[in-house]
Amino acid sequence: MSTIVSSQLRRDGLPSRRRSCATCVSFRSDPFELESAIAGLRSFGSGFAAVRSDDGLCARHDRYLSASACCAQHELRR
Amino acid sequence: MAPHADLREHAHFDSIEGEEHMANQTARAAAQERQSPWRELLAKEDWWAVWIGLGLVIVAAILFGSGASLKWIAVTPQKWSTLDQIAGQFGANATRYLALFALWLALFGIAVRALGFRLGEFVPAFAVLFVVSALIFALGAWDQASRYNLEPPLVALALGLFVSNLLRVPAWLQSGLRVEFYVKTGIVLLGAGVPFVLILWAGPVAMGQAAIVSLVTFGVIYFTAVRLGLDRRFASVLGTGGAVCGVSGSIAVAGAVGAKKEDAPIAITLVIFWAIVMIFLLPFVSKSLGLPTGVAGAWIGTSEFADAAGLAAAQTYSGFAGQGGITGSPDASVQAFTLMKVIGRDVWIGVWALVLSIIATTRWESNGVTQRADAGEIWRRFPKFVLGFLIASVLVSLAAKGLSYDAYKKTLTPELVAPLQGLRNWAFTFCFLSIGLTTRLRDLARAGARPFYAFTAGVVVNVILGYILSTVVFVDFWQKLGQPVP
Repeated sequence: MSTIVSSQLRRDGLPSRRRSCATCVSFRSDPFELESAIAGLRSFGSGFAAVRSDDGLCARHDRYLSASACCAQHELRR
Repeated sequence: MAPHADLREHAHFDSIEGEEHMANQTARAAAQERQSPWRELLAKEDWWAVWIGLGLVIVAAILFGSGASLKWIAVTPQKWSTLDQIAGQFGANATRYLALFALWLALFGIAVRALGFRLGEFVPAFAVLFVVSALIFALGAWDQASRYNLEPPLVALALGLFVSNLLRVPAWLQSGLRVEFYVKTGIVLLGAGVPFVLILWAGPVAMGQAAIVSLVTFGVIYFTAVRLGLDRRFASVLGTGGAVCGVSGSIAVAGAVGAKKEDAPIAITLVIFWAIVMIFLLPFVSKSLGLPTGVAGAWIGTSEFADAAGLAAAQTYSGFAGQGGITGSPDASVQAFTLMKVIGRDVWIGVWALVLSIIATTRWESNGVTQRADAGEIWRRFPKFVLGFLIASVLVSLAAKGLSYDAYKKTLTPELVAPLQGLRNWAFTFCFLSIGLTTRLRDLARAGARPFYAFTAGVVVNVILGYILSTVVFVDFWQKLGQPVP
């Protein structure tokens, strides 16, 4: 998978860090949204906690990901 | 090449350039946003807990240095035996309670506004929280409270659970129920009551005990989960939830390893279930065994799953000090808990996240996403409120420097430490009430049998191992906690 991603990134001329989840349309890391989406997060945790860093939910992969992750399906948020 | 095709080609390149330009801009903004220390300092509640807690400690220290004290505003209900007495207390101190409410409202209000909450919702929500907390506090000061096990943390939790699960918590009240924010603020204030020399003395033992229990508990949950056929990422999310720091551990590692969307909510359900069971179980089992307060606090710190839950249990046990032969100072259980859980376990979450992220990237099957692991993960996920706890301890230790033990007890404790302890108890009561009011069991994700078995296996091992380490291996050490340090 990493090879596929790398060739895709080279073709676009964008280094992989610029195609990270943080800039993707499918990525949601707003603390309010996360506290609504993740049941129980507010009870003994928090969407605003430092341990969460800038992680968020990816609607495309249905995964909870680090904001620095990336994939071949990255779509820039406008 | 046909003209139209040429135009389309130009348009295509323009589009690519435009997109690339936008990508650069967005990425630059994202990178700046991510790297800006100022954003982090105002966007995370850990830092706000540090600002509020340390701000109060610094003001208290300045007042103490100038011969004054915070104790006027740090009002708490005193022991009472009749309703007339407690009503009289509230009446006589109405101005002080109003001032205290205004202080908390201003401090938390500024913070939640910066975090993006609406003040219009927070103010009435916090007013309700403050009034109910004052009543719970007052109930705990009743001279018959211990006879009926009306410990404030348990009453707050039970009342909150009752209201949220059998009645309905209005939506506008939700913005005032910030469990983690209140507990982190309370922990920073707690630092003021823990001499720094005690942290240096007890920290290494706490870390050693916590490391043993964390590694064993994680291993049991992880390998049981994998043996039961669960995905490795899910197994790691369950494992850190049980072994390191509950909900925070699960959510941090879920992001670090790129877990499935449903993994963290399931782990959170199991953490909440067992954390609530342990809030009631650990203090009463410890009481029935007659454990000294420091020893019980260490066991709770080793075997509870969340800071808020553990503090509820430890604070409950502090109320048992002196009853039925339970030795140790009341504060020793909370101090031992904090050293074990916060210093021993919580601070390592970044390391756990980094290590598991590297393993997930290099050893586990691909999840369709490229994760990046770097050492910066350790700092990004570091629970920053721990710094506030340590700095508060250093500040008060410096204020105590040069004082004799008698002077420490007769001046510094009542004029500086006690008011901060009073404020800490308020913050913890806000937290305990918020736990119950935010825990709606029917809203939690359904865990399923296999995750339950895997997590429960870890719980059983954790509780037994935590008991052995606290009451046998390191018992002499934890018994001494709360005594004057040579």
